[in-house]
Amino acid sequence: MPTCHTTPASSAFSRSRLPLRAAIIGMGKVGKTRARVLTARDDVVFVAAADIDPSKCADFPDIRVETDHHALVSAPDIDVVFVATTNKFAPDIVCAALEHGKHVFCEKPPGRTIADIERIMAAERANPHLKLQFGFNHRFHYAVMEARNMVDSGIYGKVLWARGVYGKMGGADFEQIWRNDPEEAGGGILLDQGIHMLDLFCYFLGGDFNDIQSFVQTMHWKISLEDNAFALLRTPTQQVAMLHSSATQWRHKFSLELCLEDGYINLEGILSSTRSYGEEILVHARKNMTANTGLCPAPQEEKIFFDDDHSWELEVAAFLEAVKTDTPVSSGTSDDALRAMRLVFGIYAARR
Amino acid sequence: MKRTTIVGITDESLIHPPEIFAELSARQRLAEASLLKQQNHFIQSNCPACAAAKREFAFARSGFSFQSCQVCQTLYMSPRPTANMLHEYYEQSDYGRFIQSADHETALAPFRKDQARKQADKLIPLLQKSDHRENGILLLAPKHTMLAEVLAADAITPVHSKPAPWHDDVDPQGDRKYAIAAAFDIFERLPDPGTAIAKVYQQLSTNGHLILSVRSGSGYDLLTLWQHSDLKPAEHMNLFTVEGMSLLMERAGFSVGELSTPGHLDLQIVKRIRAQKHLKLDRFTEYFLNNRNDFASEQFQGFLQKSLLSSHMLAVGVKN
Ligand SMILES: [Zn+2]
Repeated sequence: MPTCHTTPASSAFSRSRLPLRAAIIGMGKVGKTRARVLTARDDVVFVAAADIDPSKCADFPDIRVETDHHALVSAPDIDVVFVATTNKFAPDIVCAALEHGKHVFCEKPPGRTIADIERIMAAERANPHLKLQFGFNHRFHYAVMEARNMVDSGIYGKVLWARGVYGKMGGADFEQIWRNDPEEAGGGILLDQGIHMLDLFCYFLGGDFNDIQSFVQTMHWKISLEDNAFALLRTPTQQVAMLHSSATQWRHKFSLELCLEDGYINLEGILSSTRSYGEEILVHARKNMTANTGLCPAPQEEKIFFDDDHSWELEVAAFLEAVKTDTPVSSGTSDDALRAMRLVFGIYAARR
Repeated sequence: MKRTTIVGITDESLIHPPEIFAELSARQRLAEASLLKQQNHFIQSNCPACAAAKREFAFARSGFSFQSCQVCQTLYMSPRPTANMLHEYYEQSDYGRFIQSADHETALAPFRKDQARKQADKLIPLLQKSDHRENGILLLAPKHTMLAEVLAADAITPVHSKPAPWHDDVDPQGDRKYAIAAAFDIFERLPDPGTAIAKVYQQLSTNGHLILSVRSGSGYDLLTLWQHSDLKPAEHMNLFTVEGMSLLMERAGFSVGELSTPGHLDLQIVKRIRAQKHLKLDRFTEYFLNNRNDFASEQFQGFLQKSLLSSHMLAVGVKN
């Protein structure tokens, strides 16, 4: 197991330097999405990228391209590093970047094991002047933000339970991709996609789930990692969350239902670049107990449609704001990442 | 941008309680007639949404003329009564006294209570996330007592604009800046919405929100029934289209945070008025109403809401 050096870095970053200079390690689909977000901003310049396949950087002809990330994480003219590699490499790169005084944004999951996020956190503690954020971008979807506002406002009381389904169908090359290689990924669909739903459970219920039951199975695909995970999670205050994370959902599906004391908030669908998870809709209603008979009528629901997904932009904006103003990262902190990883591996450990 | 729709039916009779409807209508027609007697002193108006002068005559209703803006299609009365004439209509006529009476309040109480709860459920989360929540809510209406009661249960004390908003006066407390201003069913009544919204803008904190609901000028019921619509001309002088509302907000400096048409009564209104007035409507509507059931009506109403084609509009502006 590689370890991070935990000595504080002598920062090459001057807080007053604007625009910031950013590098991206890993220029796959997610890395390119981050690159497009960065190039649209005027407080940051996307100056360099590293990928073992340099042709993946062809859309960005003006940047420095490396095949080895080491040259970039130590480069004095880089202020922030975005890590979008496979799970295997992310922890080492994050630690190295922090040690060289770079602010780091790392995609989820933060590695393949709980030990990975713990050593990242050790590097973070050794460099308290640096910002570290993880890519739990679902928190920045408009429907999720609206739901959070409603929950926080207390109009429906406290959350009693949550029920989340997040599933995709895999795809023709699903058995070959790195996400299903135990060495590269460390976990299957639960670690790859289900982790977003677990993060949202934490976001809405507070997240201290200490009682976990689960089935984790490979039902269909010829892979050694799981393609379906079913879990029941309970907090010490008896709130329960129920998860189904699936790679055999033949029509993509995102659904998060929140039941509160006086009403409910359901998130149906989530906007993505392909729109394959449907429209992004928040349905909410106050419980209807006005009927005199035992048969309560269905409550009148308000259904809110969100036409835009700016989650990637908002997430990067929040990170860069924390960097520029030297204020704490507010969402996708290492604590959030650790909590989500503990749930993932708690579900693996509880499998029956 | 987000769009809000409502799933589930409200019975129109809750909004127009039959026990008072006849009396209310009779008094309202008398108040209208009294207004019309002063029409020589009515004033010409440009489009209340976009201020364009280019227009064409749309229809006359009970002696009042409605124009259609050539730029944003907003329907509006011109010439129109002055603020003083409207004050008389709302405050001093028999009709005005009746709508403030206990009988009227009691008849509408079930609907208003439900409506107030829903309005509060919108306002409270908006206020809680505001950076200036201590600045509170400004309600642009003298008649939101029910809403004030619901808000009070959450320890929120809104400030009411006084006097009545048809004076275009929205300045109850001098320099105070509010986190939120709410105007439910007000802007369709104002003699000069452009001036009113500019004043509201001044009364809001930075990032403050204006939330308003109005009768829509681009709703299915109005576009289908046109001059036969159930308009009270003096209370529906400005029938903003979705596009017109957007222009009104932007002219005042707001960015538009939400434009929705969560009205869910279009089909009920069209059916009722078609029957009452023995109308023969367009071919599609006639075929639909004669051959499709309530489930289809509900689906169609959902489509209207989602496509911003329903009878009532909800708009949220954010002060930049
Ligand atoms: Zn106009």
